[in-house]
Amino acid sequence: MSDESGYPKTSGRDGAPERDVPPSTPSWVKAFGIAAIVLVLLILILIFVGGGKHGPGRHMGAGTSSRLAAPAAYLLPDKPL
Amino acid sequence: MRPGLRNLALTVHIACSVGWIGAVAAYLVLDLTVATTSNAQTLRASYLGMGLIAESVIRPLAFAALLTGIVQSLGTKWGLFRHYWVLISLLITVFAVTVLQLELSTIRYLAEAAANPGTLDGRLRALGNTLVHSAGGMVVLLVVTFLNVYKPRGLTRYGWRKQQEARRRKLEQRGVLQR
Repeated sequence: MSDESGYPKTSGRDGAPERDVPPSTPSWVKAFGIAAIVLVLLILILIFVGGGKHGPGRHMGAGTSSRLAAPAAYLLPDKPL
Repeated sequence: MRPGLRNLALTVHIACSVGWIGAVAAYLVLDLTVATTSNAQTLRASYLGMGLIAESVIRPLAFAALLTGIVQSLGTKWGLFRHYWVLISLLITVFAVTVLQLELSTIRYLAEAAANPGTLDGRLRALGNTLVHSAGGMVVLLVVTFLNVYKPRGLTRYGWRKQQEARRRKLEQRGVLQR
């Protein structure tokens, strides 16, 4: 999404005065980067703690078939009576 | 892009992006219902609704928002890689669309289980919810909205190089005119 004009101003908008060295990375970008790294690590830890189960598999009970076309898989008890 | 075309592209992009947030909000309500109810009928209806919303509303709007966002960036002076807020918005949106695409198999599985009359109520209650993904998706979309409205300052190295080139060209043109 852009603002009404859709165009940045040619100067002053980015706080980058005319100079020969590129501007340093803004602090908010660094904060975003750190947050992204923390989030990725958190997700990896959660997946690791969850035994690597991710996707439809984690919603299936142990010992059941994933094939929904066979309703009997849901009707039969997991252990023989 | 001409101003008329630019406004049309912007309108389509805003409609898709806001629609995406609204659809995720509707999905989130059903997901919360799944997390809190033990009524089998409510669970069945919620899973079916989640499947329909994700497949028929969220997915097309997500792809449309990504595509129109790229068109909007490339068609204006903002560019796709010149400003950090545009670049980060793009990366977050690509991430969100990828996670959505992966999560759709789970949502489809839940909806199929709910649609199957053979699925016992107990099994239905054990299926669980997708709250981490739907709530996370909502947070991510709100972050992108914030970036797009506030447009925090910051040129990338590529953007800075392009800006320098444009300034140099402008100075050269002025110099030619003065001579």
